[in-house]
Amino acid sequence: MKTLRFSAALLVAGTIALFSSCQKDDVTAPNSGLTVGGGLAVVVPDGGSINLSVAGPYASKTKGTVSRSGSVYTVSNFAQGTVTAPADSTQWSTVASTYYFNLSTNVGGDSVNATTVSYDLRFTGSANGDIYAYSGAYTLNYQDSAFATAKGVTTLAAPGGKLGTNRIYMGTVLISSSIGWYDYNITSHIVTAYQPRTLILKDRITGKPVWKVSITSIYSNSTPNAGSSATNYPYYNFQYQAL
Amino acid sequence: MKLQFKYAFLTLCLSGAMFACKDDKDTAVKPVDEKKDSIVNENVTIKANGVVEINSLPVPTTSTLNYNLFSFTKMGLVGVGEDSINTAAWDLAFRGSGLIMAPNWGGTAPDYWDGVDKFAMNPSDVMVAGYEDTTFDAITTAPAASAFIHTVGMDVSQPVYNTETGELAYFNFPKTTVFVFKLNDGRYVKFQYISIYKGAPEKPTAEIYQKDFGYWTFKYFISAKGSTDLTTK
Repeated sequence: MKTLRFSAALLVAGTIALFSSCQKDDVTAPNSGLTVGGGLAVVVPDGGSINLSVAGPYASKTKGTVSRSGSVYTVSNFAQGTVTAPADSTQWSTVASTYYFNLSTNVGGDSVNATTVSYDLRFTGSANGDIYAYSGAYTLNYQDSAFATAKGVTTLAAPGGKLGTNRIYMGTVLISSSIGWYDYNITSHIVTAYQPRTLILKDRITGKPVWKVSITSIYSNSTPNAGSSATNYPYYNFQYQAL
Repeated sequence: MKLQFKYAFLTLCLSGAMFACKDDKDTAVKPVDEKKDSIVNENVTIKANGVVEINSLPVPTTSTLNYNLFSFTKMGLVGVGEDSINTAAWDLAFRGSGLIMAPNWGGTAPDYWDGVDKFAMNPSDVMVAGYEDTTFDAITTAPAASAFIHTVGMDVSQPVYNTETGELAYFNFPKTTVFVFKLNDGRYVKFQYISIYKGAPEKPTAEIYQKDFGYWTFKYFISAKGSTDLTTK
């Protein structure tokens, strides 16, 4: 039986290699073991990237890109919506009130009803700035370590399963403090990712760390388009890696 | 003395006649082909109306990274994880903790995404239609083909959070969502997820969530081949 399975595995691996030969780099995604239904993860070639507008079951409502370097995935300008901006096809005229991203399949997700639940991270609330993990599978935690070194071993639970506003400043004066992923300046109305803070998604049953995520910016191209009251949000930029 | 014997004999005959009549009457009201529930094993019962009930079936794999693979026809799990996932032998996968479901869509459907043919690993093509705010018995027929979709995630659990700490307290399972699957052989399956707690308590609590999580209770009804009839009442 083992030999048979091994042969089948070889055949599958060979088939993948054959179909993927046009992609010059290694296409074995480190999280490909998470797939279901015959394998549904979008393979991001190492050193390459994919356009979220053309990949995945919810491509038509998703914008942004995912690139990969080894086992680290970098998401740029991720946003979901319904009407593309006429002047810039990378932007939405109408953004969704909640975004969904699927770390397991490397593409945008969804959760319209009980039949379409497909996501690991949910972005909602004010400016879609509150981040939740999918409660059916994970608990959301964090640790104040740099993304590269975070192991997800020593973590704290996200209060209420949510990470949103961290500290609020008026100019340089701290006026409020809680636990979240971003600092907000009510004078300039600019959001800044609090660092070093790495989000850790743990298996809800076993408690083992499964994913680490670091939010870089909520602005497109990771740069506010104005020094005050920037308008190019919410376009998420973040990194993730399987633990 | 002779007379007494005659009375005794007459009484005996009359009693016999009356009992005989009573027996006839009882036999007459009993249905000839009464259907009964069939107990398959401690976790599986086939009800008289054909509904299969899975009761408190233990979830064997508790990592969210693995899948438990269920066959409607076999009324049980037919595999766990990667060894079995690339076959058409299963209909519905339950992600590790048992809450998240995914029909066996072999990855062969067109227009899913660019390059999907890389993953055409099995010939299965189970699709699903979902109904909300309804009951199991209220769904009596399979919908038109256009109602069925491919999906990689189904979940009816509703998290309830502790109002003081904000932490997840437990999951509720309102029995108002019903799914209809279209299997590879064209049959339809009406399906309802009922609980993840042992004994399927009507009102879950935080204590039940901590103590009795990890036991599936759900029920389903498979249509006859070539029929869209899903009547169960």
